[in-house]
Amino acid sequence: MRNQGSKPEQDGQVDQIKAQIEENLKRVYQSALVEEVPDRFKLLLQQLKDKEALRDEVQR
Amino acid sequence: MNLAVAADIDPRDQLVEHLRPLRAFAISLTRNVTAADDLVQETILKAWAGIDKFQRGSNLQAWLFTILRNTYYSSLRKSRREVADPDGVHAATLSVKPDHDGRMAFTDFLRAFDALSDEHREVLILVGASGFTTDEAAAMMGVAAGTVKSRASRARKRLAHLLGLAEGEGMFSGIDAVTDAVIGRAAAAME
Repeated sequence: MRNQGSKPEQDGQVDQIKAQIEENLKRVYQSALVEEVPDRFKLLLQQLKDKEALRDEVQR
Repeated sequence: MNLAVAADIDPRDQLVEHLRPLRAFAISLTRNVTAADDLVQETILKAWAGIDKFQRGSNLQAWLFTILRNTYYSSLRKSRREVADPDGVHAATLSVKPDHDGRMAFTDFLRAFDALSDEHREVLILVGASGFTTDEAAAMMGVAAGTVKSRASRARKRLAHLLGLAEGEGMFSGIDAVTDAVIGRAAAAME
């Protein structure tokens, strides 16, 4: 038998579950956000910049 | 004066500041660090080459996120993973009940999150977790704001189903009726 009554403590639990889902979603992103970014990406940006500088020099 | 200075800054020099959120988005979207890093690399290359298309003074992070998600979806279309399950690879319900103290374990939550479709993961991360507004997410996803809202709502509901928090799934037979009713209403309230 399903209890369809809307008791105050049940509403509290519903809100709690919803809040936990939101909280966990934030945690998925946040836990990825605190990860150290591998050096290869900063290196890649530096390489792109160097290449550009070299090209500009050649064109001058 | 300040505006002139800001306009003088090459946005390419600012890319490095966005690596962390960009990679976090990629990891959240692909749920696979190797795939995420490949995606970040491709996004950097595209952003660098196409920097003239970036409108100075607009949101650089949103622009990068847009490139990343477009790259991801076009690579998905190309490879069209051989999975005949559009709702997710692991569409089976996981049956996760909150612990007796009412908290759901994060590992269980991750399993459910991983089982969502890419579109559902994307909308929940963009709107719910990374703090973009509905309008910003709509612009990134190339859809109307109303579509973002309805997709987010469906995604939450799907997530609740995967977590076994849905009504009428019979996951909780043997569990007291009050708990059953509560989780059923929690799922219904996601709509």
